[in-house]
Amino acid sequence: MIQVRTAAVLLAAGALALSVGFATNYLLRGSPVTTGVSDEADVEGLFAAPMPDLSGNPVTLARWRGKVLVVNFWATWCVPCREEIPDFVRLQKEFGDRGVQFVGIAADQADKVSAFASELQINYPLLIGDFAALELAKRVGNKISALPFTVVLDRKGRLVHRQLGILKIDKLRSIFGELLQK
Amino acid sequence: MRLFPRLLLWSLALLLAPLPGVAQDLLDPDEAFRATARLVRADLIEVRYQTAPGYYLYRDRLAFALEPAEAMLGKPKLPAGKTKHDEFFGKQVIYRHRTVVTVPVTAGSGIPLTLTADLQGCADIGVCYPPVRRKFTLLPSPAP
Repeated sequence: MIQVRTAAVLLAAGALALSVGFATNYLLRGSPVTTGVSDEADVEGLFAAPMPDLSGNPVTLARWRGKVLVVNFWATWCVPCREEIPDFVRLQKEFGDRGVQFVGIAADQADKVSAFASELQINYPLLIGDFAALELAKRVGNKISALPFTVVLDRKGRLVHRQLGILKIDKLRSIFGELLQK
Repeated sequence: MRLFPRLLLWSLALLLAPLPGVAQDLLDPDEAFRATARLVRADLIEVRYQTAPGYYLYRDRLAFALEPAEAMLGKPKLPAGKTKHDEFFGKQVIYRHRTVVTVPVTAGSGIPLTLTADLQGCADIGVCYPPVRRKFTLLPSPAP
């Protein structure tokens, strides 16, 4: 009888340890949102879509092929989007000369984006996607059109990460660490 | 000694339970922010919002318009809501769960009305949904 109890205690302790382990692992990975993302990955569509920059000139992402490209879909009405942008500014400064390029695609209007860009001294290109930006984001996996949504493409234009919700600076650093070694 | 089997069961439940945020999918905006509208009187529209747990609407992003042009909307009566401090927007009033807004209306009786209701909200998990526009057809009861 004592052996049965001991076994039960051991099993319980093991199961508890395992579940704590799983939960900790999940939390440490630090991706707040992993859902709301579909398998759609029309990266070529993303590269080919022309959008005006802040001067009104049409630009496609194809301009930055060959870079490690971080494409951030955002809007000025989206508070979590505003929260993560200072980190992107910092990383653009830090990794820009090593081949990383951030590009913001705003689901917003040009005047609002311009005001915000100067307020935060955004040091990477911003394109005005308006509501078409949400359609474009959907085609690379953002099935519910919520923001922020960010995709990371490697130098060969392959989708290596997509994130609905805030993309943490540590996560980005580790992605860059892997991609820039290659 | 009944503690041990209970502990075992709890541990197993913990182990098998879906991890937070993994199994729970983010809702489509139509499900996260439900809205209905009806004429409660010939001169009053009631708009009811049902926001899913973990989601909220911004008061200042609620907007209303009415067609045809001869129909007129009065000032909406918006409930107090909760205040959310926002680093960028300052103090924001937000609505959770059930929210009822009434809007006075002046319209000829018997004319079908189209109410346009704009809304925008976010999920606590840290994503925001684009502004959406809902349309409702309201049929006033015929003049007596």
